[in-house]
Amino acid sequence: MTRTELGRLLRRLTIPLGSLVLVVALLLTVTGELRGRLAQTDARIDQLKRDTASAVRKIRRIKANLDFVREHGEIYDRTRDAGFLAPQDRLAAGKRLEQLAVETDLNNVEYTFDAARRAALGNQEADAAALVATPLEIQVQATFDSDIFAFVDKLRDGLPGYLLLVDGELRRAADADLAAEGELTPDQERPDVISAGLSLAWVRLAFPSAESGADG
Amino acid sequence: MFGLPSFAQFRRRLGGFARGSAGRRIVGVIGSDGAVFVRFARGRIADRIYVPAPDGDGIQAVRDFLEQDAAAPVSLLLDVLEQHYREAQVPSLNPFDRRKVIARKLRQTFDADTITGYLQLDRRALSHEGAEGQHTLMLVGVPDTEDLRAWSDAVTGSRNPVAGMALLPLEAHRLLRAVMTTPAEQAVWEVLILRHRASGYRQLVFYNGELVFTRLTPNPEADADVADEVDTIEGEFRSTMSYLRRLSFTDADRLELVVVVPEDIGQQLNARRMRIREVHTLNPEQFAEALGLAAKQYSGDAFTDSLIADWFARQRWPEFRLEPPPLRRARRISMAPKPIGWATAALLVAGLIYDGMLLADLRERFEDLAEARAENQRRTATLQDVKGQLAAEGVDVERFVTTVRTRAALAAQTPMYTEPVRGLAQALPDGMIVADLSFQRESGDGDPLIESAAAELDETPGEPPRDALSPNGAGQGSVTATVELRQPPADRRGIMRSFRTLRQQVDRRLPAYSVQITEPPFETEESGSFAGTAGLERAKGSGTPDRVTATYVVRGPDS
Repeated sequence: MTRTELGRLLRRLTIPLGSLVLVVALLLTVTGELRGRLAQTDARIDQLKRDTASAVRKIRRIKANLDFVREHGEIYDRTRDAGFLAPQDRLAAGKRLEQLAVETDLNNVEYTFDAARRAALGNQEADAAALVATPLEIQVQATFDSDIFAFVDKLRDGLPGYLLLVDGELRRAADADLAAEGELTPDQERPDVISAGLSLAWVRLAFPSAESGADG
Repeated sequence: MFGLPSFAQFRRRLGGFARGSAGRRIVGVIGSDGAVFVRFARGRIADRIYVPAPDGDGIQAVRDFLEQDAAAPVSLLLDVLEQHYREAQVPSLNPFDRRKVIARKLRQTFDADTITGYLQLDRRALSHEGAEGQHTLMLVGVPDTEDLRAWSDAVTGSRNPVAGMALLPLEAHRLLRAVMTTPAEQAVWEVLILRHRASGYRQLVFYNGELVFTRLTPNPEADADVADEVDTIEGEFRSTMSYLRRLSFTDADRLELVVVVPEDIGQQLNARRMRIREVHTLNPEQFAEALGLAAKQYSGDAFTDSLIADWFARQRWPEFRLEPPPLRRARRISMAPKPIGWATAALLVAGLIYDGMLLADLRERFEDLAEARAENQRRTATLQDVKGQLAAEGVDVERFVTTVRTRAALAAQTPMYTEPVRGLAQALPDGMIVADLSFQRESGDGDPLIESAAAELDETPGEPPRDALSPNGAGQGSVTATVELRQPPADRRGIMRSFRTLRQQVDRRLPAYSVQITEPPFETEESGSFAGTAGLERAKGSGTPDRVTATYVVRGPDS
């Protein structure tokens, strides 16, 4: 091939090769752009789907919460109003207990608030809510067993919080059945016919944020 | 022997289907009396020149002509006097040996300064009829004359792309088939006579569609009249017939003659007796029409150069190329951009298709995105709505749920003694009193109450439970009561009956509880022991025991 022919070949190839390079560059650019946009769109769709799925889970959870709140609102209010969430005041509780013992004609009542026990809820971590139970041991002497039952009932209603009768024992201390002989007059001596030992648990629910110092 | 077609044969057959439009193209018909160059644009003749000789002026005229459309590819169609065709037989050989054998035959047949080539024929050699196991070749040679080089250099020196050079006789059989009335399978001998300004009267003789031989007679002098022209044609055809008879032609064979000449020559030629039955005389316009060209532009033509150039320009490729090396290189250089162009076009098409698919995908994705966005907006709005509803309740949800669940768990662990005690008291008949009463939790594992309650909750006490919550449940407990029968009867069976009646009464009043007499006044079962006292001292007494008791255990409620 002569130099002239070589020059002619190069001239002839310039435009086609240039076109080829241009087409390749154009296609690579367009294809790259399209693929990039596709990937970007896919990622956006995936993100939206994840967000939507998350929103659906939240909706389901909130609806469940909402249904629960609406269904059990009355119980919650009653429990809260009963002082289940409030700190326990032993002094006030002791005073109230003493008042009730007199009100229910008990001959003698001895009570002991023992050291409280805690049972953490859920994951048992330090910041979890916990059930706090103060054991309350009561020894009672009474003339009638019905007075003891009335005392326990009033105690459960009168103490702030949740008072549970765990176990107990009533023993007839004297061989007498005053109930069969009718009412005692106020000035009559009231014999200790019934002796009872009761174990109660005075329970409250403690939330970490609500903890503020020791109970009274 | 005539099995698979050769590449040339295949290309020839394919070429029949590959006719196109002349488009932008320049065709030069090179003859011994000069050359005719015709430029086509949009399928019609745009310009044409006749150059009598390749001298300085002639070549300059050609260059100027080519410069008019420097982008048009230039083809040369050779119709010179000196072109040689020889039939040759070659045995069936492998391709490598075959090339060597043919090259040797070409060297033996033609001079060194001859441009040579060969063509494989479908038929057997006319001069070697009956040779078996051999291939028939048409060896082609054109002397590389100064004139031819001058024409060729004029083309290669121009800026135009070079499309190559072909020989008119080898291209002409397709021309012939367009005007013959006899079907191809019946035609045996066919003769076509063309009148070219660049060369003269060209006679082309075909046998079964293959070129057998060709003759060229120079044009008559300028002062020759029509009768002289007719005499020339008739005389030359007679010479051709005598030569054909030497090539196994007999009067019984079928022969068809087509002569393309001006109208007046054709009329006189028809009047002559040519001693053959099928003679067709066509003027250039009729011939062009038969070839499917724009015939009107040839109505005044006395020669067929332009017409043949027009027909040749419409062929995708020639059947046979015979080129001097510089022209071949020029053609290859001109054609070099083509594969790149095809590759570019293919790449562009493939890329566009691929990008189109990507675009379609992208469009689909955009729809998906819009759908996902709308769904997300709907869900987000719902979320805001339920959040608002929950906020309107004005509670700390986690605290709320924990409180209620804990309260329920405590209730489930706490026995309710009131009911069994009340049931027992109400069932107690006159004469029976409760001497001792105790009550306790029925805890299976003995855990303290709050630990048992806490254990009832899962890891997340602040979330609503999956199952329905029963906040008014009660734990299992038992009440143990020692009941004393005052003033018991003397009859032990009567005593037992009183206690059993009490058990039945309690049982009836507390259907959710189980009632058992764990310590009866007398052990009457075989598994127990029963003891008593007897004798006079015992008989002096009242006869009845002083104190009769039984112990009852009430358990429940049943879960």
